[in-house]
Amino acid sequence: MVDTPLPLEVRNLKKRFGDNEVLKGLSLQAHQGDVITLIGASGSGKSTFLRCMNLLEQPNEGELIVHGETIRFKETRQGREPADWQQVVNMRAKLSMVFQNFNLWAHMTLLENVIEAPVHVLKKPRKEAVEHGRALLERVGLLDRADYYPAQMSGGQQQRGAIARALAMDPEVMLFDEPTSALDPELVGDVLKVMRDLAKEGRTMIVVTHEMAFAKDVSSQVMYLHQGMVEEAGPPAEVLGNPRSERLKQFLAPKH
Amino acid sequence: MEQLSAWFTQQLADNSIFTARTLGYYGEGLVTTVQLVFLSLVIGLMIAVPLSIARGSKRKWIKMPIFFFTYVFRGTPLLIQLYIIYYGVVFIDGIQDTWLWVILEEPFYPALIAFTLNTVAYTTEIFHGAIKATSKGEIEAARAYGMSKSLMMRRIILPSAFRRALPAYGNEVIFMLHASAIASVVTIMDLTGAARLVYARFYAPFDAFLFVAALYLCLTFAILYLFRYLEKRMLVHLRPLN
Repeated sequence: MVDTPLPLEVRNLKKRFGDNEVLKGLSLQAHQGDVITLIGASGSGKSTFLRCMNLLEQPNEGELIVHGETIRFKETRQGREPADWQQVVNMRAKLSMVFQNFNLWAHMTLLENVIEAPVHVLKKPRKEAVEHGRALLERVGLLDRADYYPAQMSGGQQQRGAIARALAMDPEVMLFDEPTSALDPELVGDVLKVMRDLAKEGRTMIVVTHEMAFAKDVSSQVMYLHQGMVEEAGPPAEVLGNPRSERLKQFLAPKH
Repeated sequence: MEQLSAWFTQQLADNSIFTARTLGYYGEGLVTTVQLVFLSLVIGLMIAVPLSIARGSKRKWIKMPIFFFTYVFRGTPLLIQLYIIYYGVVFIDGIQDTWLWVILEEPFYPALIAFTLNTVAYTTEIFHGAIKATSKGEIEAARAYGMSKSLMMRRIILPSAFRRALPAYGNEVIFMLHASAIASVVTIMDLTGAARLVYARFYAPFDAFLFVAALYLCLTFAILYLFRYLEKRMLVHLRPLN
């Protein structure tokens, strides 16, 4: 087997907000087809960790290696910054993100949202992007909503549209930041189903979530974060089925 | 055209004020007003867009001068600005010997400059506000999808901000139309200037000014209609489906 570089590797990542260290040295290796779920109480740093991976937040320390390419940083008076923004732009095009609040561009129709970055960032021919975009919308069950604006769709539809937008980039890794947390309970299922399908077809995904059933069934690895550190990590059967630390036991205990 | 003026003359046979000649004054005034307002708005828009982007810069030395400019021009009456530019420039030493004087000698250009600077100040602030109100999540998504700053400005922030700014900018256009009436105080024969001429000649304030008021109303109506149309087309995404 040819030794291909890992889609994403993070080494010893640290992040401070002022004096408050929110990530205290986190590492992660995503192999092709891995689904890594990050769980933990709010404030544990899981979302910040995810946002550091595509540099929406600037980590203070640590290494970020995307498809074998190490992101270069430089020290400035304001702190550490990427040395080469073009490299960051290329890297971001490989890691597409799905947000908690969908963040579709409100002045564009759903199809325009989906083809925007492929056409203007990846410089794909428009016609090709539209074809691909329509196929993706069909996949997430929204082809009939292609010409709707985000405000005209339900939360679940918007989120599925946002997943189509992420897929349109042909990403190496998909980052999901609590994709179902802003949804009404009855809409969660549709979004999770799309994500399960993606996992099944071998997409590399990193998912911050509160959906334990999803973490249990779908992920290849679960990381439980507590106060910016990994408390437990491993296959879901182990971490979720047989938690060792008291804190994780409490976290997983049914809350009612 | 001749038929039309003949028809007018017939209609107005009984009155001595609205002859083809005075209507001609109003007609010329209408042309001048529309020219003045249209040119200052178009030039103003072209200057205001880059200024409104720069106004949101993080660098103090970029944003402070722009804020100072908008503050001064929004903080003083347009009439005073016009007086300063029209009467003031004569006193700049040697200006009458330069090519600038060819432009500044006529009252039209000082008025155009004053109106342009004034609308630049207001429009810059309108756009700046709209840019600042762009959803943080949408900007974050643009960054996360690998857009550079300029691409994000061009594709996400400006299209979204212009749409948001449309109703406020429509008001600014109407405001400029009405503010242009003061051009008449520096001897420009705009609509108001024509009305003043007719008033002075016939001593008929009601006829002269009511007529010009009606013309302004018609212009305002056209502007309102244009912006209503633009909003209908550009703001679809904010309307829920029925």
